[in-house]
Amino acid sequence: MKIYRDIPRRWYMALSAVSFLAFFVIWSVLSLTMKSAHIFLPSPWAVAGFLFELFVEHHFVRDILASVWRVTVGFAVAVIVAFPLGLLAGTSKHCDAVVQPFNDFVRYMPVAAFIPLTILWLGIGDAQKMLIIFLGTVFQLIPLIADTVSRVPKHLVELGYTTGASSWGVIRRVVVPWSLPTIYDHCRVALGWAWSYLIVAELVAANVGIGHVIIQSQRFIRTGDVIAGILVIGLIGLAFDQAFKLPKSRIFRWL
Amino acid sequence: MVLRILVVAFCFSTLVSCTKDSDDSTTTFRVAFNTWIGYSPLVIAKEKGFLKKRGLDAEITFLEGIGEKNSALLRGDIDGVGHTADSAVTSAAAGVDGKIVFVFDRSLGADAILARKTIQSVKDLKGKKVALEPGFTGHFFFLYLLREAGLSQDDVEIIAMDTGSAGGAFVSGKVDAAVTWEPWIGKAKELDDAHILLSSADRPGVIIDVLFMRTATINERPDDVKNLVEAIAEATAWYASHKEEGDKIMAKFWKLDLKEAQDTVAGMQFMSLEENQKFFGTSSEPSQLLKTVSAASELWLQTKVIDKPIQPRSVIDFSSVNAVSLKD
Repeated sequence: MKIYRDIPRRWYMALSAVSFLAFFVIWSVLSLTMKSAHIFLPSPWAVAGFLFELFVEHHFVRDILASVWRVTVGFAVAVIVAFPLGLLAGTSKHCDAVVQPFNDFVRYMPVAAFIPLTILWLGIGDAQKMLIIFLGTVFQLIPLIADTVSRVPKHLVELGYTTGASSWGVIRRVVVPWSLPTIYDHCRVALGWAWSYLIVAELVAANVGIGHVIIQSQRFIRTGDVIAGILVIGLIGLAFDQAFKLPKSRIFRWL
Repeated sequence: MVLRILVVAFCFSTLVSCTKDSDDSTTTFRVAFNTWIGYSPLVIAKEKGFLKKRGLDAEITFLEGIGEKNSALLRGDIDGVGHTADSAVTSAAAGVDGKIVFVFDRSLGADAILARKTIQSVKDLKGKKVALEPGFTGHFFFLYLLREAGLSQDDVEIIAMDTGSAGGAFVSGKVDAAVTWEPWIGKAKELDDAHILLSSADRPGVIIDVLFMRTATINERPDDVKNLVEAIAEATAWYASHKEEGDKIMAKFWKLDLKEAQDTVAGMQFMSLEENQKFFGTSSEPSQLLKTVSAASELWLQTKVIDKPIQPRSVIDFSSVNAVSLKD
């Protein structure tokens, strides 16, 4: 089989469906055979029941909206901060020296350990939660953007200068348009990381939220609710992911 | 354009969460709990209007860990927390100036040491692996029992993890013993090779859930604090004669099935006002509460959970609870 050969869309969807099916089958088998499964791994149909109850009796929609809001804002601010920093670091060696080594240092720090500090900085409101999500995302995004920006083909850059543009002009008219599609993809991946920080974010003073529901359910060993919450996050993520992918051809008409 | 809207929205939500804290037109107490049904008297007081009729309200939020509670208390974002007596000592040692104003309940079986049946006494734990959460209530309970049996922490191998995970680790067979809480105790009862070695029912008064309030709040609003204590006491008295409705309120608040709520409540005993007053004693004749707090201070210091002892009296507010009475 030759690599990079395209396959019909139907094949693609069928194979993806097989993955999901395998997941459910393995889950079902484990939930029926594993020791203490009723505590640690309820079956898919039991979880479906818990999910239904969450929506009907516990206003789960409110929790979903609260979490989506927190993640989206934290993520958006991360993008707003990472984009100019990555752009500068990728195009100017001076900026690269100032930003990247320090960013690589901070990038490895565990965000969860900063929770008490974030409370001291911002209190226990939504801003603190968005900060956690921001911290989990921004330091990872900067090197990715910087790396993409640094890969702009030099002949295009030269071409820009030849037409008489200033450095800012070259950035605006060559670097950004060339990098944007890849940066857009980096952001799509980063949104996944942002969601993974939801539990950490909602550990503190959350009265609503999917993370809050998961944390409280864990306390009372309502594992069905925990798994339901995790699945919902996965589905929301999938939806956002697809939403990210769809408008790509329209936004990036020049491709 | 979209980015601009999002920036504005972010700034707006930050502003909103800042201004919310400075609203004191109603006497609202901001209280944080970790997720535990023991704090329910305040929930019932809020739900049944006992707070409202005294001109009070409570904004309840959730902070699971001591680190987070201490940060929020230090910052003044909250007026008080639901805590255990031993955690009050930990908070005080971390620099939080606060006092226990009321005891919600004493644990009677909701906290326990689970062990394999081959381990029949605390002495048998020598050299064994025990899962528990260092610095937290289970750890305190364990140290208290070790001291009784003439053992020290060095005689056992402590495997550190949070209290719930300790229960999970025991139930899945990974450790010989664990100090954990409900509902894991119920789950362990289903196992053939396990039993409850000792539980809080065997040592009532060691594990107690308390309302721990910032001293600044108590000094600023002493009458409101007394009314708050009175409201919670009224809720406890009301629950004693309206158990069914009370259980329903708790189940709804903590998002549990009614049976789950009832099973969990069975492992503890809410403390009435009279019991509270007996448990506190007075400033000149302190009672069991001081003993528990002192034990916590000694044991935490011994095991270096805190690095200097605290003055046990300084974390107890004798005045509020003794100034209150429920005359219907």
